[in-house]
Amino acid sequence: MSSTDVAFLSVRELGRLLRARELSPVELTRIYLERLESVGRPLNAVVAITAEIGLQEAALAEAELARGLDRGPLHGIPYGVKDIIATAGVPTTWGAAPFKYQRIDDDATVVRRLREAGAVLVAKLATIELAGGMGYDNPAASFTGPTANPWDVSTWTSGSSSGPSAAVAAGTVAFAIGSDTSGSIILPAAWTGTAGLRATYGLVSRSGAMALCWTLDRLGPMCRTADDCGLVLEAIAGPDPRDPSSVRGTYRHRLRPRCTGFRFGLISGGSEGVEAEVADNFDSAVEILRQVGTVEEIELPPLPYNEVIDTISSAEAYSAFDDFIAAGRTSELDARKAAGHRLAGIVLPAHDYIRAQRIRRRIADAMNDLLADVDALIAPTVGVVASGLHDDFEYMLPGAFPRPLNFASCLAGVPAISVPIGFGRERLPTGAMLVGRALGEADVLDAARALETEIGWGEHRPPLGVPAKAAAQ
Amino acid sequence: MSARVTDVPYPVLNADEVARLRERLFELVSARFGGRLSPDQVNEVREGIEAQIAVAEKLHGFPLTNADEPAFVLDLQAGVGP
Repeated sequence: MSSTDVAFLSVRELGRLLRARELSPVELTRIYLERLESVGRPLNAVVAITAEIGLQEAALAEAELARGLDRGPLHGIPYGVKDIIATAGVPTTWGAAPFKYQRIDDDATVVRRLREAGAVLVAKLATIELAGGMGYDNPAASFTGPTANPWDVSTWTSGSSSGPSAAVAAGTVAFAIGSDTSGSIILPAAWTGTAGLRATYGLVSRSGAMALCWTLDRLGPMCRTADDCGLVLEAIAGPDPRDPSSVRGTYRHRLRPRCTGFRFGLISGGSEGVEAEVADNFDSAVEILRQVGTVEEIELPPLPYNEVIDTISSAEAYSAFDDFIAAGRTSELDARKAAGHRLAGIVLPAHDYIRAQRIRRRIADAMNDLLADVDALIAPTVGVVASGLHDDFEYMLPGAFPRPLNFASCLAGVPAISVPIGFGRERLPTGAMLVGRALGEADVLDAARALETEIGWGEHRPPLGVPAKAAAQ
Repeated sequence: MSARVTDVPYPVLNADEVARLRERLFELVSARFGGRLSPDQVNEVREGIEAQIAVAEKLHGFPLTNADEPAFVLDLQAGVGP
C-alpha cells in the first residue's frame, strides 16, 4: 500500500494497521506531515504544522502501544484542529490578521481529551477569520487566503471550517475538529465530500475555543466517514466544568451499528430550488434509506428560522467582540464586508434579542415534537455544488445556504450530520443532512453509516488537480 | 398559564416610519463610532440597519405569550454557583 493509499484510510482502518504493527504511529505521522506540507499548504488549508508536538505524541503512542497500553481507536492517529481552538505552545490565530501572533497558554478541553485518547496533533487548520463572525462574502476572508476544494482547486470549500474540511478531504490528516454556529461544519462537509457532525449543543466542551455566539456555538468531528465521526465523538464528548453549556451526557459509539428499523422524516419541499444533480442524488439517497427504514414526508413548521438566527448571531457576535469593534479594529480584517457588517448591532435592542430567544424556544419545542416520531429528519445539505474559489457570493445565498433544516437544527441544539451522497455538476460532491434528537447521535450516525456504506463514497478520492493553483491566484 | 399580554397585534411600521427610524439609527451608530466610518463602513451600516429593522418587524409579528421564556436559563446545582 502506498503512503497516499494510507493517507486516505479511515480512522478505523488506520487503527487496524497500527495494531497489526504494519505501520507505526511515527511512520503514519510522517506521512501526514509530508502531505500537510505538499498538499495541505498549497490548498491554503493549513495555518501551522505542529511537527514537533506531533512527533512527540506519536513517539509516545508508539511506546505505549508497544507495551500493551491501548487508549482506544484514536491512539496514534494524527489530526488537526480548526485554528479557533487553543493549543498551548503554538499561536491560535482565529484565522484573523489581528490575532496572528496570539498565544493561549492552555489547551482547549477538546485537545486535552484527544491527547488523553492518544491522538496526535499535527496541524492547526485554516478558518474564515473569527469563524466568519464579522461577516464575509468572499472565500478570501482569512489571513491564510481562500481554501481550495480538493475536488476542484478552482472552487471553494465553504466555511467557516474551511481548513478542516479540505485537510480531511485531501488526506492530509486522519480527522479534524471543526466548529459550527450556523452551518460551519455541515456546509463545508457537503462541499468537500466529507462527513461532518455538529454534535448536540453542550455535548462537546467549547472551553478553549473562540466564542462567537454562546448559545449557538458547537464543536464537532470532521472525518472521511460517519463511523469515524462516532469514534472521535466518543473521545471528545462529555461534561466539562470549564464550559457552562456542557451537558451531562456522553456518547458511546456502537460496536455493531443498528442497520434496520429506522424512521426517517423527509422534509417536505427540502429539494425545492436545488440543482438538478443535487436533487437526483438526494432522491437516490432517500431510496437507500427506504431499504433500512420507513420514510415519511414531514412539514417543517413555518417559523422565522432565518430571522431568529440572524438576530441572535448579531447580538452575541457583537457582544463577543465588543471591545474589538469599539476599538475600530474590524478594519484590520481581510473581508471587505467585515469592517462594517456588525456595527449596526450596536443599535439592536435587547428586547429584540430576547424576543428571538423566546421564539427560539418555540422552534426547539417544534423540532422536539417532530423528532419524537422519527430517528432523523433528512434534506439536502446545500442546494448547489461548490462555488468559485475567488467568487463573491451573496451573503446568505438563497437556494444554497439557508436551508431551513440547517437553521432549525442549529437553533434547537440537536445533532446534525452531513454525509456525501454522490457527485453533482462538474463532478463536485453533494451531501445529505440527517438531524436527530438531542443526544441521539447514535441513531443519526448509524443511519449515516448505512447510507455511506451503500453509496460506497470511500472508493472516491479527490483528483487534487494542481494544488499550487490555489495559492498562486 | 399562556396568556397573551394583549390581543392587540404588535404595531407595524409604515414605510415613512421605517425610513425615519433608519436615519435615526444610522445617526446613533455614526455618533457611537465618533463619525469615523469609512464610505464602505457607512454602506455596510446602512445595509445592516435596514436588514435589522426588517428582521425585527418579522419577529414582532410572531405572537408570544407572557409565559414564553427565552431559550437560556441558569442551570443551578445545589452548592454550586451559576
